[in-house]
Amino acid sequence: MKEHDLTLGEELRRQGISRRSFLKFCAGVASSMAIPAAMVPAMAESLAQARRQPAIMMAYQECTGCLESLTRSFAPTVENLIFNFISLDFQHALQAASGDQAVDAIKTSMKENWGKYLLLVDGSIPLNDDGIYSVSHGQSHLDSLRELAEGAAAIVSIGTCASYGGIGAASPNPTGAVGVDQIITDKPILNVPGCPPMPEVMTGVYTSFLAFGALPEVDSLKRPKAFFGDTIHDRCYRRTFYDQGKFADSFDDEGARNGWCLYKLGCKGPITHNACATLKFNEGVSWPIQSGHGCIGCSEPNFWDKEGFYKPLSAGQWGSAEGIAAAAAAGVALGAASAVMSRRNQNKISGGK
Amino acid sequence: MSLKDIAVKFDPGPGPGSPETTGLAVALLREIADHLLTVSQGGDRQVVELTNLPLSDGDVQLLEAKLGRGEVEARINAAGPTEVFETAFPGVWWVRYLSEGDRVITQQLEIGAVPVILEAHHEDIQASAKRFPSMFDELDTNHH
Repeated sequence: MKEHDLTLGEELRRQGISRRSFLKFCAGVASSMAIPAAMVPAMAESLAQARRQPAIMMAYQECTGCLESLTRSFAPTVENLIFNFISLDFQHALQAASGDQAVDAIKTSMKENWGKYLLLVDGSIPLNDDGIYSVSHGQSHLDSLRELAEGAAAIVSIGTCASYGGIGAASPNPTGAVGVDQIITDKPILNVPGCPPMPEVMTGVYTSFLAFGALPEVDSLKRPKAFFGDTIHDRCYRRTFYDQGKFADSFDDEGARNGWCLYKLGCKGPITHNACATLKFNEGVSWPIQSGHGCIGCSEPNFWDKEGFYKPLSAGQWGSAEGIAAAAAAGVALGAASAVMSRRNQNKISGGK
Repeated sequence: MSLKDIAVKFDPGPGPGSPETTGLAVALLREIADHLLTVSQGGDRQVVELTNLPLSDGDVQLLEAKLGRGEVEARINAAGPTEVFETAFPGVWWVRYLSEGDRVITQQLEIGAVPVILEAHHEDIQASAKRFPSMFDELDTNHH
């Protein structure tokens, strides 16, 4: 049998990876996506039946930070295998081929997998002057995106730039940069914003795409609810200090040293939806708030242009008055409320699939 | 004033280090009682995911104290270590999935006869049944 025809389960067996290792990987993904743990064996079973998924990953107006992040996820052994199981037919920073050869690889993959491939995009796309500000191999990224999107089964926008334009779109946005979903409107699109995005989110999205054959449920900004359903503030370990009214007023005062809430130092946690508070970065080592710095809101649209990172929310132009009022009013009841919310997420996800 | 005068307090991260309990541990114990009843009446295996709940250190200690330790302790080496122990209540298992650096990836309370991760799985048993007879080829060769 050709290597390409193997199911993921057969591939695991061929490489001598036990079902226990695989179940453990699935337990990790399920936990990060709030998929009920009792569903893990069924998820593993379905994932084992999956076949190789072709994918084309395009880097447009970007800094490669997203790719740096994605190559550092949490369960290396099995995860590498799963990622190797994607047939990544084009990724300009990772592939050996360049020039015409590389472009041929895209064309061949498009032709062979028309209508079936996943298109992964990082970076924004400039619209001004026919997109001339970002060009590869003589083709503007605007044209490239339109061409590739046509044959894609679904598109995943990786990072804040591909999702909403990001720093490329920051004022004064000289190139007219926008995110993918402002150009392509007739395909399923999933946004995985973050600067950088969390690698576990990509693992989760990809695993659930293979296991359930569909992109996960999304919010109004097309972000997977499992990871972006709660605010940073909801899940922050410093939340208790907020509830007790204990704040750091400067970066070297008693409150800062005691690890109190960073709200007054400009933390955007209350209005930022992301999973950093629970998953953390660098294989769970730390994340910004644990390192003593407020959240800058990098997974929200236009975060670069929302006044300063160090201005408290109440003073800035972030979000709506009710958003902030709600954050302030939630108060002590939250401990219980977030438990309820987590359950509700679980129920919804299990009910959906 | 020098830098040394500024006391730096190590921030341990999640699990706010608060010894107080939030009420969540007691709620979980009630949930486990319910699951245990289901399983005891022949119902399906139940799993309580602990990682996503905002448990305080005090909550975890209360859970550990109330659930206690039973007869079985196991360490599994598959994609990094996994620790399993039976609680003082047969059928209630504590399962801790760790990364290679012993970081907790996720931990669960599993209610059932045997935690799924501990079982030998059908696919692996099939592969092993296939592999086993090759031992006799070797034995035969040595014998002659």
